[in-house]
Amino acid sequence: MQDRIRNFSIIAHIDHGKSTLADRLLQITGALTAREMREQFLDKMDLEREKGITIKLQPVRLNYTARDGKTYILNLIDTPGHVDFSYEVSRSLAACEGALLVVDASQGIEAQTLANVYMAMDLNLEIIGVVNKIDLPGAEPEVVKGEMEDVLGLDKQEIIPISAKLGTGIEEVLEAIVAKIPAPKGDEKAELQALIFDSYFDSYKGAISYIRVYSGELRKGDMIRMMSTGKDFEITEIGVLSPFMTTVESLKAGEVGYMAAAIKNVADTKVGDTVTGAARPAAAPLEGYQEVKPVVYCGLYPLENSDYEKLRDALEKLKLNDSSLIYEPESSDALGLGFRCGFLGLLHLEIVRERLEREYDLTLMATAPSVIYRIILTDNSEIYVRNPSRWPDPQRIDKVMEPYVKASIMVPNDYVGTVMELCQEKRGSFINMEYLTPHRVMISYNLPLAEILVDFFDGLKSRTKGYASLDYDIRGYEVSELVKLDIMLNGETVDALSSISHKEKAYYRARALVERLRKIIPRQLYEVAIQASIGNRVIARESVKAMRKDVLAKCYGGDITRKKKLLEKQKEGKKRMKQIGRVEVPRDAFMTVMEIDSDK
Amino acid sequence: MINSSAPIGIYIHIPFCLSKCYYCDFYSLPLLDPLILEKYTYSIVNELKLRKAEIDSPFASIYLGGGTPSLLRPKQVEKILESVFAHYRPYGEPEISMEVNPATVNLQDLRDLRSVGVNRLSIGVQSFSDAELKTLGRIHGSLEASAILSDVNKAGFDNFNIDLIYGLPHQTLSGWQDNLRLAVGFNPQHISAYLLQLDESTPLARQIKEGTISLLDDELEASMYYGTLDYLEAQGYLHYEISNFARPNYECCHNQLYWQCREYLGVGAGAVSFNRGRRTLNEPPVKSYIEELLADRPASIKVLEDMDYHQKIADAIIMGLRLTKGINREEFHQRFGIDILDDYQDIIETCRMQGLLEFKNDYIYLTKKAYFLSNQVLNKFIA
Repeated sequence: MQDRIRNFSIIAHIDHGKSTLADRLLQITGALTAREMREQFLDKMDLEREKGITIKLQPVRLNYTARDGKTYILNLIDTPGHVDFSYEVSRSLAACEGALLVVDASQGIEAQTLANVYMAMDLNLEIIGVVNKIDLPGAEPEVVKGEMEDVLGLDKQEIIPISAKLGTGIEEVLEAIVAKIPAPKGDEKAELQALIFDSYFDSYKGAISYIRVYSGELRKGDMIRMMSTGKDFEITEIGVLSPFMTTVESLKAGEVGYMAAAIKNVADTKVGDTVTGAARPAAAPLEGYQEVKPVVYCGLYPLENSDYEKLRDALEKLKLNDSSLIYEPESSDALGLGFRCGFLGLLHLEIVRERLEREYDLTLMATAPSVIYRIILTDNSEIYVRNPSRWPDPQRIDKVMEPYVKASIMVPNDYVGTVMELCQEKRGSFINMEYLTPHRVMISYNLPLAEILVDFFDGLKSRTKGYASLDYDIRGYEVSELVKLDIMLNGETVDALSSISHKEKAYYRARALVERLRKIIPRQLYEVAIQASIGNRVIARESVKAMRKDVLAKCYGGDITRKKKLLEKQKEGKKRMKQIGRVEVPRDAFMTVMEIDSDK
Repeated sequence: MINSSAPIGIYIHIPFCLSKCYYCDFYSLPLLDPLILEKYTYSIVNELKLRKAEIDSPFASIYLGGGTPSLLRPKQVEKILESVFAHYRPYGEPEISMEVNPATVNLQDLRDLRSVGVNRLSIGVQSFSDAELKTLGRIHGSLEASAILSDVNKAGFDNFNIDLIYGLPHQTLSGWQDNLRLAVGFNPQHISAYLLQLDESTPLARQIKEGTISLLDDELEASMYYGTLDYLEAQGYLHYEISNFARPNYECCHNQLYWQCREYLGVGAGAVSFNRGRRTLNEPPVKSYIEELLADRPASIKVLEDMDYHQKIADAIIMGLRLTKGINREEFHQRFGIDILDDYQDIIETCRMQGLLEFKNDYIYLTKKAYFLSNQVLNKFIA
């Protein structure tokens, strides 16, 4: 049985056609009828479709009858492509024996793809090279194959040219999976060891976990034990995703599927945990995952204070599905009760916020994102600050340190100059530069994480016509000249608008910030003074003039209904505002602190 | 059946124009064939007959609006008024108003209109500057307007209104004041001064979007508005609604019915009726309207709003506060069974603190400062 199983994932950069290839695999193996087929099938979340990205891994089981006449079970474990979600990639990879590396025939290898391939190689996965989009006018499959050989050491001759869009070469890919990727090994008779690589909460079935069985066998009705907690549960359902949930009697060593147990507490199905049999437990757990640490924090507050409990509940549920999300209660003078949440990056932040709003029907305000600063106080003690409003009194600060990353930027050699300029602007220091091919360069810089978070990637894309790609690793803390920038509305400091800025950039940021706030704070009955200050020193000011006009000049019998709609719209608009002192502030204002650099 | 004894208004919509003005978003069509007016007149006459069962209360006003009702021949107006009096019961001596475009009538027409029963005219002057009239897409010039205004009294009318628009592109404060002075010179009993506000669908709104013209800034518009209040009050006009001014006892009866949230019967294609908390629209187009009515079938109706008790109350407040005298607490209590000061205490208190609402002598009303900011008050009352 095991020799008919192949577990694989797909590594690809955003837009290189991973989801389309997955769609094709589903179609050709008959997993989906034409009626069930829709684009980006495995991207279940609306958000994924809208943004054209994959966030959550989604396993799927395909039955493929190969040219040798035998039918194989192919388990595809999809992977996300964005740098924020690289931990999800590592989870997918750990559950596989091989990976398809998909590279766009006109774009070539991207920095982040490279990072993921290295990860796969470290895990001893068999890599099958695929060049996609060979049907496009700008395609240079031979050049890209050469690049894959030079950079990754793949055999050029074995790289498969395909067009996922047109369906060209898909059979070859399936044959290569069967021929090259090793079948899983593992003793079906041994003690059960299964790795939870994802889980989510289903309102009917409770917690559902996606698992890869490494040894032993899991049957419905079995009592299982979570090795990290030692808690036992009864399996109520097991099955495979083909791609819809299909129950099966058992999952054996080498197989991939899902299990539902009567698990009420979401914390009891930890991603990365090993499931074993309660009656005959394994001696040791499988190697789990490295705990991912959030690098960016922001406060999330319900617009309506009464929604605080609802937000807590939503975060708890979302956490099950997204183990990288971290949160703790905090309070703000301006915004009331909320949570300080940690994320893997800004895209992650944006997605969590949108999922909370859409899936849990909340209206949220997010404060400016912040990295974690390390501060040595004058009494030699050390604190970590994740919330700018908790910044200590400057008198007590000995030195401030901020996290730095090593950024690897891959770019055609024509753009080296402009990329270096950008890195300098962002307070970067050059590490080295390497020619991967005669035309492709890998530039490395030491950069403050805070600078990368804001709009570095957008700047990179626009300066290089979209050719640059970025990957980064957190390196550690370095001493920096940082100050806290406060914002006052009508003389009152709004804690949720405070931010940390490099000293040399503080004036520029302050100006940009008050100007932006002037534009987004609507006119009110009273004039609103907006000031930015460092300590007690005001370094920028603007004002929003008092409202002079808000009237319906005409209102007669024929259009009362229409005029009332205008008033209703205004009333709705007010609901999107937060009252701070006497000032009504649009809820999005708190995020804008991070957007000011984009306005340049 | 409208059972309340309070008198109602009858509105008659004439949706034809020689050409459409650039700021207008009402339902109207270019008048291609004057013969259609005859068919339309009979359709109106029929609709009045068909709907008489809906109405029990007497009517205090008839208002012919448009479009351009002055495109009707006086004979046609007569037919319509006859039909109203044949099927509905007047309340005292009803006000009978008609909107007039200066380009469409002469002295004889005015005399004839007076003799068939029209007793109040509303003259669509808008501006005395030809450049401004051109911007608005009006078909008349300032001389035509002046000529008609001098004829109104000769024709036997002792009650007429002048419509003016301010806040036009390029208009200055003094340019607007000139318009006001010229209007007052004709000694009208009533002046409506409207801020130019554009629906997105209008040609002027499109020009503004394209950037070829622009509206004035809020500060200047506010100065024009409050300047108007001061000037007209000094000239003996009462400021009785956000945009309306009248000599004592010459407030427009018909429009006051709207602002008091009284019921009204709207007749003609595109007209709106308000009856027992329901606002209904006689659906355009004119062609189907005429087809139905000439065959003695009722016009096709679309329900715009069907309000519950709370919405009705909110409506009465939103409309009532447009009147400068405001809402009478006792009267409101008699009508709706609630004490407005109790039920809306929070909103009223907030607005009082902001200096936008006042309560005195049993009336709750907008402050002068609040007129031009009135949405800030009214949107709080939306149900």
